[in-house]
Amino acid sequence: MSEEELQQLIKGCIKEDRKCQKLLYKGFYGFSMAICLRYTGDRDEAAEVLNQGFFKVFKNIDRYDPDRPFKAWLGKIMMNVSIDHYRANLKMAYTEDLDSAEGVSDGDYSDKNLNYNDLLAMVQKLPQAYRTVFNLFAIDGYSHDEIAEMLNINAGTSKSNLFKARQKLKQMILDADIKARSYNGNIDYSSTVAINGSGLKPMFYTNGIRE
Amino acid sequence: MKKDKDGELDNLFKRQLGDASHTDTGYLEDDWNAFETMLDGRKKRPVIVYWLPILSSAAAVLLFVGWLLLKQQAVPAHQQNQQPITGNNPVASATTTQASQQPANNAATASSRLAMNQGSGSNGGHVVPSMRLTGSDQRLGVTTMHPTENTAFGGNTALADQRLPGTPTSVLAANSYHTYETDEVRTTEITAVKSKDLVGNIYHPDAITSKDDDGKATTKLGFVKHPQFALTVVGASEYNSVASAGNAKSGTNVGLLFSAGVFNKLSITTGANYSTKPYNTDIANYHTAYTFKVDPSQIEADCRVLDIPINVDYQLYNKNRNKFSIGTGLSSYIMLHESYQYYYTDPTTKGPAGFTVPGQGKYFFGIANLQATYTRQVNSKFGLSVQPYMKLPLSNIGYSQVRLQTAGVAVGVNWNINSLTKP
Repeated sequence: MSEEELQQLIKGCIKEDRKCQKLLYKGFYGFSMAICLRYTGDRDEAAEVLNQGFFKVFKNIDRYDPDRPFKAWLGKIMMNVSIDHYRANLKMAYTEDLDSAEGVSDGDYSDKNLNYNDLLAMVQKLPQAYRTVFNLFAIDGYSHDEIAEMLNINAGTSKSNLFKARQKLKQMILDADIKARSYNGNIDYSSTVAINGSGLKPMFYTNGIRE
Repeated sequence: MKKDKDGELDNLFKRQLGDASHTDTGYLEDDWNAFETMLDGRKKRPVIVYWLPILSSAAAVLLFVGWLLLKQQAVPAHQQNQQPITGNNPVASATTTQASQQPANNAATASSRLAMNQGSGSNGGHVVPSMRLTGSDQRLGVTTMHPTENTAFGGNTALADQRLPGTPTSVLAANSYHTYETDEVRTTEITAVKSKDLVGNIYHPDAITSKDDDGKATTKLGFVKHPQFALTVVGASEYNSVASAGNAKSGTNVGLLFSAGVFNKLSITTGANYSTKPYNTDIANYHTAYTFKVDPSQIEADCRVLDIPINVDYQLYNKNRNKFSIGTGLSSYIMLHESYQYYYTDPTTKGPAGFTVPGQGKYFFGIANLQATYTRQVNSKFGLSVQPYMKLPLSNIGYSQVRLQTAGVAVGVNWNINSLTKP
């Protein structure tokens, strides 16, 4: 979508033209969904947040400054809506199993053959409190102080949650690595047992009838 | 070292998840549909919220305008009161003899009636004392109807035989059902009636001229609920009037109603409401076999009614726990009690002062119901409703055969009993 097309769509959206709204929604669905997916636990939840985000976008699209990149504006809204969603589920977020992180040894992550879906699944498996902090810090680049302000938590809590998130992710990566190796045959877990039939006495089969 | 490893981990995720616009997240039309619904909801909601008070106001204005129109149609009571009974009383006008002999203030007629009553004094030895025709400080006479069973009365034939020449039967009959009282003298009980024919002739005088003219009821409110099945307890304050809004009197009613959803937005409601319906009227709208010597300037009625409505409601709006519907239907009416008090312009006027109707009149589908209902769902089981309503007469009701209209506002508590009906 060219910049000109985008501006035309935005103008149409300002006029609440439904066709333009749909084209814009469709055009930035993937980009927005990617953000929502990593802040939420599953696709359904992500779709809900995404729609809330687009709702805000269309509601405030007349405030959009055309001199700024639309994607940045849209992404920021999606992130904010995700944080709102986190806040709305705050009680639930802290009743999740926030177990103490066990020490996981560091490995070399650069050589891990993990694709987008693998990593997304791992992030989604994190408790919401950990996931949100990890997203904000590791992916969106906010500091702990900023995160603390955004989520209305202490900076210490933010650090703690990040630490625990990382530990969990490391564990998941380690588990995934082990699993992958097992499929690649690096470790032989064959349960096949060779039996030497010569040692078996015939009576075992005949139950002593011949005797 | 540790920080480097953490950074490495963060970068791994940032690289893959940070800019995922290239990944195919699979656009789903369902997501757009859900979003479109959300957009439509945003657009419509303010409109509906804006319109709700307007609709309610419109309903109130309609009620008021309807009321005014009915008021304009009404003939001013005081004009009618000045006219002779013969001009006002349908029974009197139906009989030329009677009409010619009954000017309202005709003392001679009064005397002849009195004489007639005395002449028919075989009715159990009751004495009809003469009524004072003058006396400035005397309060108006009080007449009460005593529907006692008087075996001394032989019925119409005997009555007719005993009347004085020139006295119309209807007058005789009417007199025979009234008791005359004054402050000074408690007069008579002439009367009684068990004979159905006699009762018919006297209590339903119109039947003499038009047997088919069934009176029909007025009514009470019908309350509507939209879930599949619902029970509603309602209470209402209402205004009742006959023809003129100026004579409106307030009444109340309570009831229990059952609603069943028929189609998507339609529901049917029925039940029972007990209603007190006091109202004022003038003689022009009051129909009786009895011919007053002097027309009462005002008649006060006190009726107790069992109203059985059948209403259909159409739901216009149902979102966010708010429901708004309009409806119409018919009400049947069972008269539990009717009593009338008569008041005269000149307090010295001699005449009946009151009348209590025995028995229960039944008037089926005699009232049209119009209502608008706003319901606020408190939770899945209970809701609160406010319902302005109007009841328009389709036919005359009651002993006095009046066209009684009612307007009021009902409030109710709705109980959704759907869960009880599930297997």
